[in-house]
Amino acid sequence: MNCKEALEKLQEIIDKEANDVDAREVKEHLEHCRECLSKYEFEELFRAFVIEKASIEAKTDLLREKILKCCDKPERAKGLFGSGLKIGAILVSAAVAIILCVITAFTVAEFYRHQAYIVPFEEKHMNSIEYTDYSKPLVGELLSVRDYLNNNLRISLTGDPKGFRLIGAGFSNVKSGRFAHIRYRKGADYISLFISNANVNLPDFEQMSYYSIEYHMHVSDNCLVLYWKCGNNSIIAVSENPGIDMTPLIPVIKIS
Amino acid sequence: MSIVVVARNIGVIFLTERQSEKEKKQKFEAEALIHLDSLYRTALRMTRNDGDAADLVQDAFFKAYRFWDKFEEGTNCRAWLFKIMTNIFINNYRSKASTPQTIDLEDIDDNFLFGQLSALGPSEDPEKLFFNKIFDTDVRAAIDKMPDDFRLVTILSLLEGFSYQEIADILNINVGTVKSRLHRGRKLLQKSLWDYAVKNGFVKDAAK
Repeated sequence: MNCKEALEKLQEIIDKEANDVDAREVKEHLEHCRECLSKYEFEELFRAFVIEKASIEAKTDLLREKILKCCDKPERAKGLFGSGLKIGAILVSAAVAIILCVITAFTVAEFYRHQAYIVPFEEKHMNSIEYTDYSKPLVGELLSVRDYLNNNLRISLTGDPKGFRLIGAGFSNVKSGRFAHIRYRKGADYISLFISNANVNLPDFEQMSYYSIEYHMHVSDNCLVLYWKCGNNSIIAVSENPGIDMTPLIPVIKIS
Repeated sequence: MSIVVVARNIGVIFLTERQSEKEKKQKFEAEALIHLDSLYRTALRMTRNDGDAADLVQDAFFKAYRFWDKFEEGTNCRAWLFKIMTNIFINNYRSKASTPQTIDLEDIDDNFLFGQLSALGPSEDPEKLFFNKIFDTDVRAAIDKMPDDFRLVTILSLLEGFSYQEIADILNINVGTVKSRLHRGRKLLQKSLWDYAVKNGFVKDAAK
């Protein structure tokens, strides 16, 4: 193992995540390479330093009480036996209605589950722990995106482009600056809309990272890009499949 | 007749439900609530203020309680709770606390801090020179300043001791991304602390 390989493994070794083979080989290298050994010792020191300085105490007694209290459910059964029969009948019909709703919900959920591209966006999805597919763009910042567009750029989106459905909104960082990023979907077609008042270099869009996920989109390969400038603002529409008609986007973007 | 039977059966269902509700609460207290400190510390680091941290932790535990049936007993409860809390944080709290910024990590070397301190003199003791001069609050502030992605993995790995695989599960990313973010996060932290030390005159920047 040479120095370059030994140093590549540094983080894993220090985090105790390296496999046995690597650990052994690094140990052998460090036995005769003083330079790498000093670097290893330093990084161990740095790690311990950060852990020590960054530790905080947490006072959680009150929180513990609050959580336990709210886990208590109030007594329900007493009132029930009093007016037994009538309540019994109502409950049975309620149960049947609930079962029907559950069946519908399962069908809908199945439908959505197979469509792996759908990004949970509505409030009801945000509270469910099933929908955590972060391999696609960011969720849940529609309000801040709308505010940013209205207040900073004086642009508003009057609705969804015809045939398309809004599936996500967030902010993306590109070399030129920060962009509001809105995603639409129609069947298997996706359009991304980027709006900002930053100075735009179209090649910057060849490698982008969304706010929390690495997502590489090659603008040059078979993708259609519409780009227009209005005043200080730049609007870029990128299709992710060739041949999508993006003209429905145009009437949706309103500039005041 | 049949309605009476139904009513009595419903009564029985409710009685057994009350009993199992009590069991559920006991189990929850014994297995989940023990991780409260760890979660609250992390919530403080994620949200950077007490009020939001308390709300975040409570939201996480309420949701965990609601979904307690989905938790497989004997599996990693702490990681499960962290996953719930991180999802809530990303969905609901992050836009309040976010610091969007494009970070250019290209000009920071691997082993950046080692290099900088070595340049000051081969016999200098890094502890005396650097580590002892930096306060707790400064390190915490440097971590707080990190962009969310890097900060989250750094907190989970360094400060809460989760393994790469556990972090990957919690954040729903792959292990390679975890390693890469930890690596870049470490560089960022070293640069940030170095800049701070230079600014406050603890060290002289050899490059200047």
